[in-house]
Amino acid sequence: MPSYAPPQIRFEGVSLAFGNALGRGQLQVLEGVDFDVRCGEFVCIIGPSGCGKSTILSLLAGYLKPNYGRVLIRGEPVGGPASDRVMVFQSAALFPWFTVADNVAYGLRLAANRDKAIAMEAQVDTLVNLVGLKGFERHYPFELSGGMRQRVEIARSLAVNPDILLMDEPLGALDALTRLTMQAELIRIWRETAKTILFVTHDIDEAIIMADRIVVMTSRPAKVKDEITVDLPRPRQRDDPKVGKLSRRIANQLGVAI
Amino acid sequence: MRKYAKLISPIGLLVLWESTVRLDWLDPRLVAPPSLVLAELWRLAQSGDLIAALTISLSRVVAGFLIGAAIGITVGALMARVRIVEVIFDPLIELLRPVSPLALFPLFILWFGIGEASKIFIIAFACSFPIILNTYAGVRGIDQTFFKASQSLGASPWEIMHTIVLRGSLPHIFTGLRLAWGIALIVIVAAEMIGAVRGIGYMVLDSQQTFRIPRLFGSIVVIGVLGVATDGGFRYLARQMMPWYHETRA
Repeated sequence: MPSYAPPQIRFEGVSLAFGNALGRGQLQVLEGVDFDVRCGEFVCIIGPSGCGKSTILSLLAGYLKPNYGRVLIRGEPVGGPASDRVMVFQSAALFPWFTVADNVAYGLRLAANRDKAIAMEAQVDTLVNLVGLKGFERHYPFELSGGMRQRVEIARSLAVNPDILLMDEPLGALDALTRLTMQAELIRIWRETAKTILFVTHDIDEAIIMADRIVVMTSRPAKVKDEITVDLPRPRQRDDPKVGKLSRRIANQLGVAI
Repeated sequence: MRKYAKLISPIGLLVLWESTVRLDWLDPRLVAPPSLVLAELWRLAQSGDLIAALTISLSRVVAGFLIGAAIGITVGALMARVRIVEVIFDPLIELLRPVSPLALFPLFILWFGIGEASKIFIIAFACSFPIILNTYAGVRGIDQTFFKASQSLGASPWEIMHTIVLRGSLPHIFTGLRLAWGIALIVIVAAEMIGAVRGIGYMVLDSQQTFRIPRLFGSIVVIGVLGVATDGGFRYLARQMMPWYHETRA
């Protein structure tokens, strides 16, 4: 990426508070969050649990609006939810009443409803292949393992050809082995599709293995504590001493002793 | 073996019933034994009277049920999704729901006449409440993540309505439809006793008034069998339409 490219995503002094039902006792979630993400970057957001990492994604998705500051995509303030940036949830978000193929085709059908010429079947095929689920098109989500469901979830998000994937701890519900596989898979898919990925996690090693850059958040009210460029070649090894060093640095910043 | 075990109680009852009447322990003028009931049903089937009565009753039930289902699903889903619709409809529904449909029937006869319309509307009225309540509960029970996911993928409110709301609440809607169908069968029999000269409900009342006890018992049996058979139909339809739901319970 040339350094003069304008940021694709920009948070400018973003603050957000949730009021309770009675309008008293505001909960300050974000306070002056600033950071940029360039086109095609893989950025991990890491922070203590409950610090507002997911809130950052919700702001980008358009589910929430900031109280102060601006959330910009290509220089434009974010409107409501739209398919140029898609939220990838934990596996539970697959529609249980649709098959794998119908889940993946969901966004394509919506686009087709708006009179766009779409080669539906070919695209579904390509996506199902991309996430390695050929032969499972007619299965329902309940017939799949957690890792497979996550692959469908990723394929469903890629189907609408978004510029940005917003991933809210997408691997959080998987067992340790499946998680390692899916980390490698996600890197592969990212390289093949050249999407911008914003990935929320609370797993330090996961962030280091995957990200171009890591945004470290403080505890609530969250602001950016540090931005770390992970300048290591891929594939990265967990036992690489440089990974260990980075890991300690981030753990220190999060106030965890390792 | 287990499959046949559930036949023990009905067969036992039939044997007990037949023998007590045959032994004159029960008054045969008031209780028809199963053999006579069966013979009477055979005669009714042969003469076409049974088919005629069933056809007229079922067409009333189906027409009213379809109207009730259309109203029930629409109102239930809108109440669950649109706050103002809930505010407007909820008090009205709570007020009307405890009113027996049969209490309204005389009024419906005045308004819509003694013909088919009053019976169809009374069925529709009775059917709409369980369908409204179950659809409402079904829509409210849908995980918020599904709404967020579909919005994120670009769905409009209308697209969310038919791909998320209706799909996701279908298991509850089916429960509502089954309850409504059962109520419809109860209401049509009563309604035909009050204001009809044809139909299975009329056949029950007419048999009693003309003292044809085997036919009286026979028409009651027909109503029971009709209920079991149609509910089986609903369950079959549910399995066909929701393979994902049936299988997740297994």
